[in-house]
Amino acid sequence: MAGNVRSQNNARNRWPARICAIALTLLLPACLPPLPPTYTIGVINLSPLQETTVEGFKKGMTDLGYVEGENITYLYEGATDNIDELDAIARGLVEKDVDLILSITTPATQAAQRATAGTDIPVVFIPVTDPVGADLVDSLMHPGGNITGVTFGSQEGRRLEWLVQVAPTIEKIYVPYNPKDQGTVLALEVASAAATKLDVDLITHKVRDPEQVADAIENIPEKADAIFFLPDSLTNARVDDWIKAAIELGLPTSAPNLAAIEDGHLTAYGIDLAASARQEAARLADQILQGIKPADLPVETAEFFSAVNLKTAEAIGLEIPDEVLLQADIIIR
Amino acid sequence: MRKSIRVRANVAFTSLAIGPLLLVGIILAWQGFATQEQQALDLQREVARRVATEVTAFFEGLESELRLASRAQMLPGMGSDKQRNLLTLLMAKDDFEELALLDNSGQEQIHLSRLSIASVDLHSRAQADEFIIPHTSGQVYYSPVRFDEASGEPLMTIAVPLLDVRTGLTNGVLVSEVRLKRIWDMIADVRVSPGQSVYIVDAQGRVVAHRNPSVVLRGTHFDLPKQDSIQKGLDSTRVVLAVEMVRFGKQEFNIVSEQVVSEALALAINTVVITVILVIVALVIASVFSLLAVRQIVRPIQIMAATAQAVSTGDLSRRVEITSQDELGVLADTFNSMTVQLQTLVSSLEQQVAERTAQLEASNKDLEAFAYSVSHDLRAPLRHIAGFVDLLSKHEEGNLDATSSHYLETITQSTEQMGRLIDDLLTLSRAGRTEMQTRRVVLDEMIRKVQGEFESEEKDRHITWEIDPLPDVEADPILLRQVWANLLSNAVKFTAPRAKARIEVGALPIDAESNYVTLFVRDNGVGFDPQYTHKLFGVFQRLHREEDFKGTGIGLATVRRIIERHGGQVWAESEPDHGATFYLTLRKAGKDTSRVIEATSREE
Repeated sequence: MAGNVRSQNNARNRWPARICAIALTLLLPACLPPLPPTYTIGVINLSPLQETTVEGFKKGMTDLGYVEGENITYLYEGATDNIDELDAIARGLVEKDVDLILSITTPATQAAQRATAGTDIPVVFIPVTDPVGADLVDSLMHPGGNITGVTFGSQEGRRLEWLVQVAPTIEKIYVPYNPKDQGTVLALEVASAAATKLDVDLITHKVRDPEQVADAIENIPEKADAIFFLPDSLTNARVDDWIKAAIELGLPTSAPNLAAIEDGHLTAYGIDLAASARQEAARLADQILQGIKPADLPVETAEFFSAVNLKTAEAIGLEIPDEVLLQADIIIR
Repeated sequence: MRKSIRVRANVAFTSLAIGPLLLVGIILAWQGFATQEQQALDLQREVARRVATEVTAFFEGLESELRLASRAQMLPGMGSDKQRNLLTLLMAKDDFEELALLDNSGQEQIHLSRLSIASVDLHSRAQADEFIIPHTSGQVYYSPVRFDEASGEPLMTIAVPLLDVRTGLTNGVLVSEVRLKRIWDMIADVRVSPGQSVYIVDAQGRVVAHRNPSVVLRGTHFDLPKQDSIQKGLDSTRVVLAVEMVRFGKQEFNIVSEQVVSEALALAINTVVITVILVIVALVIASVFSLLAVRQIVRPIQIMAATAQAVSTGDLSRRVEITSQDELGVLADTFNSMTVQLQTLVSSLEQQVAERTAQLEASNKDLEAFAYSVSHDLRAPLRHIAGFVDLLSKHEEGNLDATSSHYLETITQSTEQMGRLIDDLLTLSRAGRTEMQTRRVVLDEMIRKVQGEFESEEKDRHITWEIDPLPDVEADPILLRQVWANLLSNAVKFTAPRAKARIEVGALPIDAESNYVTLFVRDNGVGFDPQYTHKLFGVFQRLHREEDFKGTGIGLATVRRIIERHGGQVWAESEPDHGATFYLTLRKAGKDTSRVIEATSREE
């Protein structure tokens, strides 16, 4: 009996230590900050002209708290101008099991779609002209798969109209394009329909490689009154040469992206890709990294801006009416 | 189980320390929650009101632009080209998806679209609300929100009538398709606290604006609560939520501002967390202190309790080892001196008992020796009496009258009776005095032999014997034989009134752990009244009359003496007229005890 009392004493004497241990166990995890997760984003870019888009996206991610080198890593080896390399790049990113792929242009997004098939790696694109037509998403509101991003609707008709508004006398418009880029082909279809309504003719010319582009720059048809560039990285890679040739020939031009107005295009109508990448694309990527499925993130439609370059207008001897200039969002003076 | 003083004291101590803290914490937290909830609601209301003001300003701005444009349409010299240019400039602001100028019949005169190119086909809108309502009422018309099929972006129609200054009649309608996406930026610019979000819900419960466009594009639905309070928010988490409604024409916009409860009530929640931590810390400290303090008080008590328990179970050598100078020390000393006294008393008592027992044993021995000698010495004169009565009756055979013969007969019977008494007394005396020689006894054989003797004696009776197989026991065979002889003769004797007597000898189931076996003899005889059971085994105790059953009253006393000398027990159970059962216990035979088959008496 005496032994019992003694053993009970011993058991009770351990209680303070036990209470301390329990309290510490409960409190310690609350005191330690959780380790921040780190992410890897792979980038596929078909257009060397769109480095600003990648930069815009990174800035947007930084704004949202993803600092490169701290909690986010970008796997990006620069833009390629070879459409045939895209699949290999996309597969490489999938093998590295990135958390998300940022794809720039329609072909890059399609390559990402092929490479991520059967995986759950999400893809955010910017820009894709017609993601439904290119079979990347079920619908803009309900993408349904692992892909979402930023589109800019059907701007080609309005862009052609803007060119015609700025230079009302043009009738025949030269359109060089790469038939291998599906985004370009879709854009051409829209532009052709608009041309009929606007009562102008399109002189289309297929270019499939840099040599053919160089050849096209040298041989702009004499009957052309203007040049209309489609969203086509192959053709637009030689932007400076095109502008030089156009100014020499006194031809108005229309560029598919706003940034190109700075390079000397007469007109541009489109989205501010860098701003859009910083705003919409980064926001979509953030939501996906936070766990929302791309299937539930509607494709966002970027804002259009009209731009005109008065210096170029002067260089080609074009007089633009004031009422037209009043409509321009951006004027390079 | 008894509750320990230590536990109760600890609980009391700790409760005293923590109770007030807990009380203060609960009051603080409760007050904090109430106050913060009100503050959070006020904050949400203020944000919702501010956004409502901005949204109102946005629509009023659009409306005044449209009114200005509509008035400009009425300026003199306003040709179709100038009208178009004016509307084109309005479109350039990007607030509108479409603009259409309708004439008095509802036919589109000009139709501009942000996406479609200039020459849109012109239609009549004579049947559409956006024409009929402003045209007939002269008021601005606001349509319900609709969502663009392709992009999912929300749009709203605002139609302004063109009023003739002189007649005051409507002269056409300016219809605009407003892009509510413009409001998104407004909401995105609202400075919000952590966990707060602001969005706009239309009358149908559709979310038309949110700082995250995905929410709107996805076609999210939200059922507006009846009043501002804490409830489920847009993404089903608990939020503090306030709604401010604004109306444009017949359309209503509900500006909702909500904040996740955990953020909105962070201060109150922190108070609770801190209180909980404080209570836990206080609990730990109070427990440690109370354990130490209570230990000081309770430990001596526990030692004393343990010592008292030891003493109560007989260990009188235990002492309480407490040397403190307080009341507990006094208690310990008193307890110890009590124990010492008790020990002294107990040992003197034990000594007295031993002395008395020795005296008793000596006088008992004397008494037994006396009884033996008397019995033994009585036999010789008795034989003389018997012998001379026999001689006298033979000598006077035929000379004696009937009365004298009867007297002699009576003397002879009494002498025989006295002889049996003396024999039995000697047997009883021997049973207590002879040296025991215990051996293995095969009970089966012994019982069968004893029973055989009765069979020949009671030929004219009908007795059924039932003798179970019995275990071997360890005993003095001669003494044991006397036991069985007594028990079985009793059984035969007391079943005499029965036409069919039945005598059973057996053993109770053997307990493997015990060294003893319980045997019994059961009969269906006259039995006895159980209230006299205690007298049954006494010397000269008879429960039946001599006339009914002969006997000296010494047999069962002899049985008890023999069994008790063997270390066993004997007892009986009965009811009058329902037979009797005699039980006795004997030591089980060991394995190597030599077998004794034949038991013979050493002495008659």
